Amino acid sequence: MIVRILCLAALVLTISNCKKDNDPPITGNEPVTAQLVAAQYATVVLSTYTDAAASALLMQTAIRAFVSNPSAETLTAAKTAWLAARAPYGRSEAFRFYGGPIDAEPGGPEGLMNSWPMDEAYVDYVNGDAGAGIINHPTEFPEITETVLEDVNQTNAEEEVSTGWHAIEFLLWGQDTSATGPGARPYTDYVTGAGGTASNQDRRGQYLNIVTDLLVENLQYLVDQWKVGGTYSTTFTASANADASLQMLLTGIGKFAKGELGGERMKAYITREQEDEHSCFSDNTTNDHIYGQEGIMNVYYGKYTKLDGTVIDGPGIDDLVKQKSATINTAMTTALDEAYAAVKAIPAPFDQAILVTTDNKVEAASKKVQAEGDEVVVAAQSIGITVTL
Amino acid sequence: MKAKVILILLISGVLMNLLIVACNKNDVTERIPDTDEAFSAGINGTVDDETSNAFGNPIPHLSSDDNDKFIVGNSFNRNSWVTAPASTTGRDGLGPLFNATACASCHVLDGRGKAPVANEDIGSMVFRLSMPGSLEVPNYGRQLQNHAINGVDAEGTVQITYTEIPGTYPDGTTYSLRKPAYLFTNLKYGDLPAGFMFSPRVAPKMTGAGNFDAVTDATLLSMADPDDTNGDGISGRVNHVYDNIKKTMVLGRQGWKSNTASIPNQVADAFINDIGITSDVFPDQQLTGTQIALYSGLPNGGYPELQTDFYNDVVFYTAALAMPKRRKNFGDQDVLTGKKIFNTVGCAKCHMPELKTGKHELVAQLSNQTIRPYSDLLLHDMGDGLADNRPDGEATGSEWRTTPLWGLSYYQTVNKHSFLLHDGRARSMEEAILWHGGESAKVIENFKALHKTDREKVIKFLKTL
Repeated sequence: MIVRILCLAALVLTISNCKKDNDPPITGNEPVTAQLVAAQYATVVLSTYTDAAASALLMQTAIRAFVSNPSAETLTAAKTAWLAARAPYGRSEAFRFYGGPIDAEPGGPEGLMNSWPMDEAYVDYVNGDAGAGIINHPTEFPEITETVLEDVNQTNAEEEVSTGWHAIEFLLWGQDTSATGPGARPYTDYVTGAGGTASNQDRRGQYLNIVTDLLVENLQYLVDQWKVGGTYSTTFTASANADASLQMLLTGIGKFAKGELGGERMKAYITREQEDEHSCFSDNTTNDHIYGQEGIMNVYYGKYTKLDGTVIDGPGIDDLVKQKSATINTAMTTALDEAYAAVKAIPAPFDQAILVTTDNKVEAASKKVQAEGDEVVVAAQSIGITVTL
Repeated sequence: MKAKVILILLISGVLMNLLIVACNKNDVTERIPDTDEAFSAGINGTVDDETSNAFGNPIPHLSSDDNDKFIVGNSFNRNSWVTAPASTTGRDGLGPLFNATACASCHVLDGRGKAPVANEDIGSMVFRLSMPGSLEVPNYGRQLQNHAINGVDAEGTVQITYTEIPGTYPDGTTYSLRKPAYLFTNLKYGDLPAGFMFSPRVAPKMTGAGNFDAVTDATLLSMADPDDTNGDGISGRVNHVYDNIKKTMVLGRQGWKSNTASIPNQVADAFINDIGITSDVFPDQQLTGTQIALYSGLPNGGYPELQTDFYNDVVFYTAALAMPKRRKNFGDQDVLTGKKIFNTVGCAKCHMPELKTGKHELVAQLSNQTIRPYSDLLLHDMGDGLADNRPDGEATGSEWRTTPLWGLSYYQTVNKHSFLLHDGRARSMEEAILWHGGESAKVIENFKALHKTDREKVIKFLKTL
């Protein structure tokens, strides 16, 4: 009987759209379905981006206040706002790597938002080259506009990053030449007239405001794509796309864990180079790693704690996996817990943690996070989904 | 019960067949893609990624250790080198003369270099230099380095201008090709001697090249037809080049003229000539007599500047870059028709659709794969229009290696431009086709004689690669 229903159902699907479709669920008494998980994922994504956009707006206000009235206090306020906004954004990085709104081509703004490592001399002066960067080249770049900065982002070289979080970070902190603390750019770099340091202070302020505006706009774009009824979220949560959506969100966290968070972001323990540190100007890298790991967990559990403290909790991948194999779910949650603990154990600043020769915590965390990525493949398999990392 | 199940399955099967027929209505001569055709670099060497990072992925199923090597290799491929001495000790030693500060400055996102714009910096292009009978030009060496560290004079630069050359298809459709001209300027080490030769070369994409190291000598020789014994007008010659690692002559597989032996050679060569970074393979700076006298006392970044394990990682990284799959419409009827025309007019005689690899010495997964590079990796005479008139090994001044076409549709996605050919002169795929001459002249005549819609189908096919 079950077989007959299956065949007929499959045929109906085939007839309707002339191509193969996955089988619908076999039994009718399962509490959690792929579609429910995909829908909850969309809610988590929207809430995360909404928090990120709201925090970026606060940062924009703080940065505008700083540029129009540069002082030690306004600079500190701008930096504090940047650090705060990085938390929700970091948790959103688990939504990458499947061609969703963040990194679809064309149109995905990821490259404009979070490209790294960044050749800081492409944007502004550095030690040994006071005239470096777009800011100090008014002849080549007479006008600093969003379009100009977008056009030159990573166009001629991968490290030539002109926009995004790390450009803002560099403009607030400056180069990090200290073993114990972050970069220490003086607020006077933005003072025009008496007391100003470096040159082109007005252009620097203009640049900072514009890259901030661009970031805010890109975050708002992501919110719009994922909002209920938004172009992308409507497709993503449609019942016909449930399995495909599940495949994408699992691929996203798997690739993010294996290749990016546990990979690119942590292999600096091998190269021992500060250049390989994600937020190298602000020394905020250890926090970036924690946020990234939290994002992975949010996706797996279908749960998100908003910045205002509200908890959104609904059907997660864990529920689906549990229905198939409690053992595999336990293995996955153990991998998540171990990765989280290992990431939190990395001592700040990251640029010093990578240099430790025995019991290197970055190495330990890298391996745990990558193992967690491999476990995603196993968990996905248990619910009939193939994930290739 | 069992019988009923089988019956239902049978009925389903019949219905399915009917459905397949229904889906293909109005097309009695339906073309179908080849098995695994979408996997350009074989099942083991191909990934699904249509983003701007399409060229930057590792091949699937790397071990953890290999994955680490890939990431570290990427870091040394991407990040900039700085003047020695510097606090970033693993990455200092840039220059003194150089073309770029990082591999990825030209091979942006592992892709293809940007074509130079008229009267601007030569960007991601290098100019190889030589004299008749010698690979070195006095005072300048083998390559013009247009940048230098502080306190050192860059060798010079090149101004590029373009002239439009109009043309017409037999059906009356017109086109225009632009021919570049080069002027060496700002020369800081004296005039270039009379009779010097040069070859302008845009950085090709890195992705895919690793597979060629696994194409066996026997395969290359089986495709070669140096004396055109089959009389099809197409020769196809191998280049014999010196392998600086194996210390012996081998068949060339890499570079615009198959002028480099392998990825390990290519990586070391690019580090020393393009960035001024020494390695175990090339432990000395390639400075000429005058330059040695001036600059040999400058601080360097250690011996070698590129630590051996990191060199090995960059080699591994380059070899293990995965090709993106064919575009999702690779099986469309127009595309498959375009592919067929591509074959019948003769493009596929050199742009070989399929090769088998043998053993890959560094990346086991790349061994014994069916790859679809659309190249025979052999040298062909491309005529006067494309000639650089600079012999390279056994390659003549008008011969070029058949450029692999795989990944062609991704240049726009990754590198945001459509410029093609060794010097970026072609602004589109169509212009690149029309520049072909020499051995390929007949094939191009065939192409030009096609109905416009058929020409468009060929382009449509190319845009799925």
